[in-house]
Amino acid sequence: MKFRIALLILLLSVVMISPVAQAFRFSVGAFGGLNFPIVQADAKSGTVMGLKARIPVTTFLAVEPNYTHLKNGDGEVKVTRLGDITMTRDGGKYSTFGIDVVFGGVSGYKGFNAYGILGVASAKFAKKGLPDLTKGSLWLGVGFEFGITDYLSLDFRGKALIFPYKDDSYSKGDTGSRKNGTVTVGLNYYFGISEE
Amino acid sequence: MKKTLAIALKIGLGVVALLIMLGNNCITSGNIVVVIDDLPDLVGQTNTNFTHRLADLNSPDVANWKDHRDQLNSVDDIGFACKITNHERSVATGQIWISENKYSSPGEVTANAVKILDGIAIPAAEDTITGVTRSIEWKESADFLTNFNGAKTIIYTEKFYLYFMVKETPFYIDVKDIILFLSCNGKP
Repeated sequence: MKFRIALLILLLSVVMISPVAQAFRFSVGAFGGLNFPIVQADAKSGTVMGLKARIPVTTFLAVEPNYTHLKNGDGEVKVTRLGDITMTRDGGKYSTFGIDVVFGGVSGYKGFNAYGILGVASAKFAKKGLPDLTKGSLWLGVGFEFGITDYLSLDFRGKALIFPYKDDSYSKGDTGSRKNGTVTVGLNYYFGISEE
Repeated sequence: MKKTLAIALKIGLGVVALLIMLGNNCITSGNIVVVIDDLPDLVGQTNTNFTHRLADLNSPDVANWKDHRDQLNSVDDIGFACKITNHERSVATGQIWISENKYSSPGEVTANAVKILDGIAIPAAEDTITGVTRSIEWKESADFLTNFNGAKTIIYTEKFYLYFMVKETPFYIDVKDIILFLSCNGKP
C-alpha cells in the first residue's frame, strides 16, 4: 500500500511539473508481445500485454505509468523413471503496476526516436496452488518509436522484469529473483499542446 | 546535448546502484527443478498395514539438489505425480502428508504431520482385486496442493517422510510411480 501511495505522489508531482515545458504532449498506448523467462526451468515463453501513458518532464525525459500482465508458458520436465515422458506445470503469471522513467527521444513527433527505460513496479506473481507473492520489482530496457504522424506512433521495446524475493523461512537462503525478458509492439496516441 | 548526456549518465549510475542494492545473488539466481523419482511403489497400503516413503534429498539419485544445495535460496513449488489404485467399494479421497518424523498409523499422521495434497477423488472399485486407478500428473497436483508454506519448511530439513493415505476408513490403496517435483531458486 505504501508503495502504491509513493507511486501516486510521484505521478502527481510529475503532472504538476510538466506544464512548465513549452510543449506538453502526453500519450496513451497499448502493447503486446512475448515474454521469455530467463534461467527458469519451471516456466517457458508466454505472452505479455499492457497499457501505458507517457507524461513528459523535459524534452528528453518522460515518465510512464503502466500496467503489464505477463503469462509464462508451462514449465516442462522429462521424467526418466516413466520412460522420459514430459510432464508440465503452470508457469505462473505476473501483474505489475508501476512507473517507468524514459530517457532519450521522448517527443513522439513524426519520425524515429530511441530511448532507455528504467522503472519500478509493484508486481504480483501468481501460480496455481501457491500463495500469491507481491514484491517491489524493477524494469530495464530500451525502446524504438516510429511516429507515423505527430499524433500516432508505433513502438518496439525490449524490457526485462527483475522480480526479487526472499524466503524468510529458509535461514540459509539469500534474496533470489525471477527474471523475464519481454519483446513488445505498441501503439500510442498523443494529446496536448504541440510545439508547432 | 551535454545536459542530456549528464542526465543519461546519472540514470545509468542509478541503474548500477539499484543492481548493486539488489545484490549479486539476486541477479545471478535462477530456477531449477529437482525431481525425486527413486521412491518405491506402495502396494497394499491400508489403515492397519500402513507405511511411509522416505525422501532424502542428499541421496546420490537426487543430483539437482546435491549440486545446488549450498547456493539455494528457496523452494518455490511442490508437485507430485503418482498412480493411486483404490481397492475399496467406496469412493476414496486420496491425501499426501509430510513430516520430519516417522509415524506408523494414519491417526499419528493426521495428528502430527502436514497435509500437502488433499481431495484426490478415486472412484469406487467394482472389482476389489484390480481396483480403480487414478493418475495424477505434476500440473494436476497443483489443484490439490494445500499448506505449501508448512510443507516447504519440512523440505528444508532435506530428509522427510511422505505418507499416502485416504481420508475415509477403512482404506486399501496402491500408490505407484511416485515422483516428487521441487522448483527451487538458487544459482543455476
